[in-house]
Amino acid sequence: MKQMDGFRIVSVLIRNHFKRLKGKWLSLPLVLLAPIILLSVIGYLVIAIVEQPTQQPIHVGIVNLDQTDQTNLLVHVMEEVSKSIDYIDLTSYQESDAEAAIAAEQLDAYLYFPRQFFSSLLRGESVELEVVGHPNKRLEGQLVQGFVDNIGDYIESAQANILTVDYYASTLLAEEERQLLLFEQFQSFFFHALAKDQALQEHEVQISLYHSPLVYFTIAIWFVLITIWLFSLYIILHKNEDRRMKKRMILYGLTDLHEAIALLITLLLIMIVLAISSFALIHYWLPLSLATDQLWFIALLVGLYIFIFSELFILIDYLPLSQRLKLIIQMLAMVGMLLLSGATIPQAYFPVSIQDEVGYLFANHVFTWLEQIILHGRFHAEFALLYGCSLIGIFLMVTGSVIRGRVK
Amino acid sequence: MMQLCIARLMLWKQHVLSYLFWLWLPLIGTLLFVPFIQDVSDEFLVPIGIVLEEETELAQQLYQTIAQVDTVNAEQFEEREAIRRLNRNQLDSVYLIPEGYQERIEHGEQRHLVEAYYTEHSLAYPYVKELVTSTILADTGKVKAESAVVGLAEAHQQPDKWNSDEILATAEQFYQASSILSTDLTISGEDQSLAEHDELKLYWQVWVLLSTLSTLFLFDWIITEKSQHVRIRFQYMKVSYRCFLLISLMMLLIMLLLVDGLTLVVLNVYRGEQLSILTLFSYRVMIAVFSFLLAMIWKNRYLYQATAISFVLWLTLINSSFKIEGEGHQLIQSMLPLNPLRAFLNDQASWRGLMLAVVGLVLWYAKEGGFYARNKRSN
Amino acid sequence: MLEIREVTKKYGRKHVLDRINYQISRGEVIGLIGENGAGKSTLLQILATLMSPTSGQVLLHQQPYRKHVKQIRKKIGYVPQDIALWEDLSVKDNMVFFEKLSWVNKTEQQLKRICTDMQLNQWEEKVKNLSGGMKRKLNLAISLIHEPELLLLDEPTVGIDLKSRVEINGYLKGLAKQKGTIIVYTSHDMNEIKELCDRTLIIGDDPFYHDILDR
Repeated sequence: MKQMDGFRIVSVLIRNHFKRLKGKWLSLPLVLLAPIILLSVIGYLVIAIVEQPTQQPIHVGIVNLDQTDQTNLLVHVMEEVSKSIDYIDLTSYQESDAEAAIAAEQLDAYLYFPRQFFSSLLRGESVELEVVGHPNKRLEGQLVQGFVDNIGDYIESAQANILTVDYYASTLLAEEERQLLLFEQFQSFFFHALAKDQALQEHEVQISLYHSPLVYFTIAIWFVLITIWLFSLYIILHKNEDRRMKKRMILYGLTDLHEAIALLITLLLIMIVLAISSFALIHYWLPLSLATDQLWFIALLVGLYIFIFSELFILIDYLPLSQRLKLIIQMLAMVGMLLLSGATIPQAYFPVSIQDEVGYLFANHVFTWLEQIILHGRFHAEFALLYGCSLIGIFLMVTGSVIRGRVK
Repeated sequence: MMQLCIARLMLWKQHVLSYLFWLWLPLIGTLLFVPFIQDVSDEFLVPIGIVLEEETELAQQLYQTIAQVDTVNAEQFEEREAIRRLNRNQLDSVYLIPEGYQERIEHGEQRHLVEAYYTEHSLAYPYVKELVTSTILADTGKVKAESAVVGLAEAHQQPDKWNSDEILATAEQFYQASSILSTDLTISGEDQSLAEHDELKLYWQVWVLLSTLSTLFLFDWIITEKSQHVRIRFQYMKVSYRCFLLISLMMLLIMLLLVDGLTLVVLNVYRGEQLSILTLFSYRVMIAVFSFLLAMIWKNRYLYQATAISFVLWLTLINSSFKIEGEGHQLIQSMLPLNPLRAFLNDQASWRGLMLAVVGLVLWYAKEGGFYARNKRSN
Repeated sequence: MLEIREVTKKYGRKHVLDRINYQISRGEVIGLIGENGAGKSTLLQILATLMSPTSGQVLLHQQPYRKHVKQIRKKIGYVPQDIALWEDLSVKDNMVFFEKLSWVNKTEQQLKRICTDMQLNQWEEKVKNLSGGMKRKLNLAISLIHEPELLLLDEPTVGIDLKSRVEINGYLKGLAKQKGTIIVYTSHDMNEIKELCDRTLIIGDDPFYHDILDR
């Protein structure tokens, strides 16, 4: 049988990959869309947390069952405080009214001050503030709880101080006089606690070209998205080979290396199209300001990233293990790379012991330089490590395919 | 019945090692993996810089208190170095304690005691800021209480009745004893409190993810088996193929439940991680039936496995608690009432999931009955 | 006795089988022939209860199929055209497996006997390591575990060596003679049909098959 040259074999394989993808016109967009939806939900949530919500305020009722001067003051103070906070609006209610208001959707949540609230505090007993949320507005309920937690902290710190004063005052003052003093002190300590943020003089330092963290998160999400796409495509393309077709191709001189090269080229071609189009969308939407040189650097970085990651997947498939284990290893490799790349957890928060070493991981290297170029406007990137990784990958693939060829 | 079980075991015997591996993976994996996660996650810290311009007691105390918080890695720097590192995004934020800090507190001052520097990338800044201001608040509060007591003594013409150090020590004791005010969130019309799963059951969290994966893998033989020609022979046997599959499901379920029982003992007794039997039972039945049905639908074993892994990865994502974005985790949780593991991690039996599984199984059984009826057309 | 009365099968408007009438007595071996798509397999599947006719009926020993499917199936041995075996199991385990699921109880010795009668002697060998001929024999042997009164074979000897084919055919003849089993058989091999079958049923109206049979 006449041997086909390697070039033709590879081109036949590539054409075959594309033909198969065409047959998947329905599932392919689904596979590509699913991670976008997932990531945009997560991204939206993260951004929503970092940039405090500025939409409609949450309406919260306060039900005061204690009805002492002190709690009435507290409620009054909380109402006042909430006026200076955009996202929460507090109003006091009777218990039955609050229940009705929740049902009528006038309130998103309400909180109870239980009976004996203040006297329990003074006695140093534990007290629970209860927040009741609207069944359809769980998210708001949790924001309210965060707010109440804060107020709780203020009350708590005031409480320790009052107990101190009370401890000494009890030896000097009569009961009535003492109560009056404590009430004054409580008021004073509570306002003191409310003003605690003033203790800091805050300076914001801008370190990137963009004022908001939005750009960083978008780039990070884009990076994760590309990685997930790559893996999904790899899974779709890699298996499903037509056995009979493969047997025939072996007669023409097909080896594992041909298959690997064809897979690499196919993945690279598709991923470049996907990466460029998604980046163009981001570029337009944010918008970014990048020079042509910088765009070339980004393209090269991402191209090499895709190339090395594909090599890694292929090499894992060369391991003599069961399909399930190989899949798990590939998945772990992907998750590990993403975790250590700096795109999921910013590198600053990494353990000190690995801060220096992670720089040698190709994923981390690529993401760091993407950040440098896009966020910090650098006109430079280092590629030596990435070229090295690609070459080692190629070397291992050739060796692996030769060994596998012998074993067969 | 016995005969049928023996027949099924004959088929499973061929892959006995693989089955044993996946059966025991969740327990063994959990026992090995959790200590590792704990070690690693303890090392992910928020790096902050502290600049001390004075070495007074209160300044040192502030630094020590912050340094002792186990989510923060506080290091002391010179001002220039701290700002340089902040600029390179190596520090989340920098706190500068200026000359005269203690003196100003002792004079009852409250404004601008400490300078804070942060950037647009300081994700943990709100969290650390809260930490720092609370610490300062405690210090200023104690001083305030002390001066109130001294003022009281003076007002009663007994200026030397108590000395300052003694008062501060008493205040410190009350601080240690406080933290007795808690908040609790409930949903109108529901009994269960949302904050009940505050206590993290890391062992069960890891176990349930590994177990979901291994259960999905334990059922993937169905995909290969159901497409084989041998299926036609069941027409002439005592039981139909769907019945045989159902018995196989029960057998696998019993095996899984036995392993689960042992897991419960090991994790409850040796690791002190409580979980109710009902929770475990309902989860197990739900996930086994779900895997079974999923494998009945899927045609390609490799894609089934890839889907299984992606599914578990997704579950991991929505169920893991991010250390830095603690609130984000809660938000994601509350956005996803459909999280199938939610009930399990709250230690509740998921009756809804269980019902769904049983209904699914009944539908499958009814539909599978019509297999040959439908098959007629295709011939 | 197997009676086929006015059996018709339609797919949409297309008549695949049109009013087939036929009777087969105990111990008879019948060959079904016809061009591809003429309806041989359809008829065989109707006889095997895997399909029901559009109209007409089939009776085995005076019992109509429609009413007594369960009892009828106990009496049928069906040998599918595809190899319906557990590839990962040995010959022995395949036989034991289907014995456990069948209506009868047999000892391992009895099961082994069925195989050796057909010259299938690799008792401990895994199916995936068997030759095509041996797989066919096992495919047949499994269908005989419950000693069926009606044996239906869908091209049982396709693609196997001459020796195995002769052995299988010899065995089938013996089965019909000694146990009175009714055997219905589809094949494309005319010589085989002539050699093995007592009578032939031609499906479809292609004159080619009538001519070749007369010759």
